[in-house]
Amino acid sequence: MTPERRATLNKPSLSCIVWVMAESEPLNGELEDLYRGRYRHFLRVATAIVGDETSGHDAVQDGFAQALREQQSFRGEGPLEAWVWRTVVNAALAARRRRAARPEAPEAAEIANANGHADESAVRTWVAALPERQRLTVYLRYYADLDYRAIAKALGVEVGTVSATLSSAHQALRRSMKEVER
Amino acid sequence: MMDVEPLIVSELERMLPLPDGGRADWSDVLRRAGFMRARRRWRSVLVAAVVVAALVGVGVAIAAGFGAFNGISAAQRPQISADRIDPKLLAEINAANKGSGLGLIPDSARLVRRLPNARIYAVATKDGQLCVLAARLLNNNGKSDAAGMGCGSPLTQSEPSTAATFARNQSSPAISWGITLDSVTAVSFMAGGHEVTVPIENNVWAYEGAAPTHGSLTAHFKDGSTETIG
Repeated sequence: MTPERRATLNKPSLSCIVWVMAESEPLNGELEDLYRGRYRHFLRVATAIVGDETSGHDAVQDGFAQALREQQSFRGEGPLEAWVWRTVVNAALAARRRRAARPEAPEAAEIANANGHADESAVRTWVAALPERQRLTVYLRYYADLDYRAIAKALGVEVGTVSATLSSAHQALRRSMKEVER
Repeated sequence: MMDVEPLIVSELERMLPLPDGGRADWSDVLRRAGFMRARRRWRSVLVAAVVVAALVGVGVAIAAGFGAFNGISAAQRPQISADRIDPKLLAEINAANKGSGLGLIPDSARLVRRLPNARIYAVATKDGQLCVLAARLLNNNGKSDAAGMGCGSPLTQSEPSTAATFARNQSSPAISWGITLDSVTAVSFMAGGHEVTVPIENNVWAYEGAAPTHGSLTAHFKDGSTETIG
């Protein structure tokens, strides 16, 4: 029979000094990983919102910079990525507003000219006619491949609102397609 | 009703294909955020460290202050260059423990095990305590610049292992480690709802996964006996 002896483990005491060198911004690494892994998707959505890739890139950079600065406000109530999407989308919307306010600047062309081609498809017409929230929801769903929960966090709405918004958008597309067919 | 999703996906893709990532520039993000210089600070963090403490009953100290290493063969040798603690880290250890009377003896440091995500050192203090330092732990910034240390009385047959755990964040696996007496061949403990047995190598055990419940750690000796600490 194997002998077994029992002993009491000393609890951590004052003589047990434990510390760790921690980053004062603990999310830096995760934000960098997210940036490196998903930059192209962030850029695509931002470009779609602002209207050109250069401005879209600026919006992504500004959005991530803001996320870095304000990471202490991330409460972990949802995915970090959804929280970052919110800052990037807001940065892109702000860039679009600034651009629209410049008298010499043309109105943001949305995604119509983002790839340099005119597009007269029903989807093109549909996207142009969507209200802003529906358009953002579509971009986040189909360009960023986010699920409803992440979209809800990113836009600050309920999950049910995302579902209803996409449903409305789909109906609008069906109507748009019928008009094009006529 | 027509399913328009496939049409949406294909048309949106056609209108704005996924761009290439050539513009990606993380250092530019850091600059815009005003973080071009990484800001670090020492912060006391409870990392569930437990250092077993007891007085040495037998054994011969190999040098003044080195009685802390009794029964730890991997630490009982002359210091070589690889054993030296990085001066910057040492300065930060001393600064972090200023006023505590820790009395760490830098020349006593012995690198007892290199792990993929940590280097484990045994270090003695002036009053004969054994300190276990884990350096080069993977930090949240993705760099191996975190460290943790626990100190207590030297190991004994009844308290033959130290134990400590560090997790860089809640979503990453924890790394746990400990230094044991020569006579210990393995330790086992509960982690993630399962019993885990980890072999000893160079007087060190290390485990990466769910954080152990350190309230109960069993040391397995060469003679087949066990010692449950908890």
